[in-house]
Amino acid sequence: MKFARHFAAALLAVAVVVALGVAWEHSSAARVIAPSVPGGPGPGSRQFVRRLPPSHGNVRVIKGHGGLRVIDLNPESGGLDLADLQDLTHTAVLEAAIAAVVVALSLVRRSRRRARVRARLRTADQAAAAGPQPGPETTG
Amino acid sequence: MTDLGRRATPSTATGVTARRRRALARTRLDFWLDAAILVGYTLAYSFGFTGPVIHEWLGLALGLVLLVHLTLHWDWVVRTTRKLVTRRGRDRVIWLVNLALLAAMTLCVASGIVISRVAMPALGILTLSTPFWDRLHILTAEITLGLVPVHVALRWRWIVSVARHLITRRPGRRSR
Repeated sequence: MKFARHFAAALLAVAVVVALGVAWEHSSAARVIAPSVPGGPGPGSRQFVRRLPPSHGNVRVIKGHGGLRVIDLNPESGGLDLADLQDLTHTAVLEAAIAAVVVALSLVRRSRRRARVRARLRTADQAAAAGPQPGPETTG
Repeated sequence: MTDLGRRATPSTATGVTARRRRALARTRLDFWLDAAILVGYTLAYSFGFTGPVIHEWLGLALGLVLLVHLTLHWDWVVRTTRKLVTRRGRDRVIWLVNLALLAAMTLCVASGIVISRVAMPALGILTLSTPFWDRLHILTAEITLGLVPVHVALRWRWIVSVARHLITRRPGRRSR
């Protein structure tokens, strides 16, 4: 029951983000990421996959139950391309590098905080060893 | 746990043990699910390695798993959002990174669905090809690539402690 409630809340959060994305597409701010080419299609111009340009010769469009189906006939796109392992390695290295920077920053921040706390404790110890401080003088 | 068990009565000790076992199972689930998401995202981002078919199906699966991940941590979302003003700077940074990641990953998966050329048509769903969604997919994938390691690294202590626990626990399991 709790999982269902949380799932519904998470789904709602995702739906809000998607709705914001759709709103962005229909606003003038869409040109920020997809500036329209003069004489070409605008950022939100729709082109259904059935109208694929001739360059997509490996894609066949057939009529299915839920509408049109596009079948990719390109034999090279079917599975893992082990020859392009460099692409995967590059992604992994990039992720590891960013993570390492964050961990290093976290360690530096932690050690600085500890040093600050130690310094504060030392000051408090010295103040305690020096004896009680005289209170403020009262007048009248 | 053993100290608690010694001090408590048998019935409460059983309750504590059961609760602790549930918490451990949940931690293990979180750990392996998060690891699967990280590996899945790394694979899905490497388009040249996976090719369009695996890229699209993996992306769809990631979308579903991310929804489960968000559901499992919804308590944290609510708790941290409520105490956002009173929390320390680090918690606020984690919250902001997670919010940005939610937006980026959701838009990445959604735009991937919109521009899908293999997976969605195979399911009989008509997809679109628009410059906006094409660019949005690339942009959000790149933002996600930057945020995922930050998201992981901000919890590196938890990762190290759970990984250590899982590794050290194995020999005991085998002996049973």
